[in-house]
Amino acid sequence: MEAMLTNPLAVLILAHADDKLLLGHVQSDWTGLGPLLEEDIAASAMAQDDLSHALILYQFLGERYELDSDVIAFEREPVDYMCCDLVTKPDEFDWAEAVVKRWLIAEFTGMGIDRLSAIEDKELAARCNRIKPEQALQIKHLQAWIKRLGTAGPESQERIQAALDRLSGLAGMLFEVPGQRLPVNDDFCCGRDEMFKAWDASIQETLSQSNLKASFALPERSLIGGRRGTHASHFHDQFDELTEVRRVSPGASW
Amino acid sequence: MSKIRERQFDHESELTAPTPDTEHWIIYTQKKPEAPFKWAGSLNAPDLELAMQFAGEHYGLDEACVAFVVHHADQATDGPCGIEPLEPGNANGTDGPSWSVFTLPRRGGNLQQAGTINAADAETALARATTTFADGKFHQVRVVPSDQLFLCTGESTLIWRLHDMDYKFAKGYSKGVRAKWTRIRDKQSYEEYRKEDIHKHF
Repeated sequence: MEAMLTNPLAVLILAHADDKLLLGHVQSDWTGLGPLLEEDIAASAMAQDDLSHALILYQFLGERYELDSDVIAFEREPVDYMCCDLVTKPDEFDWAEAVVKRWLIAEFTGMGIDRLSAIEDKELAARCNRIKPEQALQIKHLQAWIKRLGTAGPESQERIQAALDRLSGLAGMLFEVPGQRLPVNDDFCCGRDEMFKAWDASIQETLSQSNLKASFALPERSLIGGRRGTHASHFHDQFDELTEVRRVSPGASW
Repeated sequence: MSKIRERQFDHESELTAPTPDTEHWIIYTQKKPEAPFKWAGSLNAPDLELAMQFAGEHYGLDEACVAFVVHHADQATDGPCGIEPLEPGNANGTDGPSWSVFTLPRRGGNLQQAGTINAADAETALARATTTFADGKFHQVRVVPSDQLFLCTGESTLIWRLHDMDYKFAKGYSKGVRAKWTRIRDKQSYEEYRKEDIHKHF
């Protein structure tokens, strides 16, 4: 475990995998509560996809570091989870906030997986290439929602803009340098500054088609947040819930 | 129960009310290349783009398929569903735009794609479809303007997921699982349960 947690590439993969694991867990709370039946089904399918993507990445790390993927997923200390705290921020079952949050994260993940697949590692690329088309579907679906909610009418526009206003200041968390055991000056983030510019450009393009506005800032490299193990209380709430069954009987075979 | 789910909801004030702004769409899936599209179900969506996305998320993930087509429910014109199979009529002609024809092999079954005909209107299309396709083996005809059928192929947009989807297949009755069950249930009750479960769900 130690070797994995101190390897820069493994840490970068873990950051994406942990985002996916926690996002899938949090988003599955919308099952049965979607604003219309079909979206209920679609959102649940996407939450399943998120968990599957996390598994694909955990399995890759498990093979590299001779660890069980379930152990990686459920048996680390909270400080070693490298997800961004935007992922676990409660949306209070506000659909506008849920969609905006998912969309900002999905665009980030799409770019991150693209970059991971470009690293010279055939096995990693093969795994990322399984995730990429599914991630593209999620982005397309969420963009469709942003555009509709932004242009459907005054109330809808007001609510989605309000959600954007609440989340735009937190979105920079996505770009925190991950890994509390690694120095912050390690330049292993697949071009963090350039990726932020590309992410911002993609977000702004959709916003411009949706009658919405938001601005985003890239945080300093020295920022210490969820990705470096200093998690908000809502992460710990989700973590306790996520690992509850595992803690009852560690290592049990289901 | 999860702490989150313990939260008390006042659904009427917290969640968006069911919207009346959706429309009804019909979906047909194609299980293998060259196989006919078969009726899969319907869904509600506000517009075609979301209908296509929902169709992929819903019907595209029920069973492995390589493509699906979607049309607005209002675009379908159905002929009567007879107790006896339909016999060919005598309406001929090739004028007019293209209509896609779906036929019902048995009452209570699913419509499946049969081909296309040309006709100036839906009524003529139904008559010509019956003449062209009725062979004493199906009970009903549906026609849909071909330009109102919207196709999604797995090549243009991902439908069936690329990650391990084994959990969606009925593999719960493998030898290994059966052996575990029969250790705790007698064989006969297990067989009855299995039979009923498969009948209900698959």
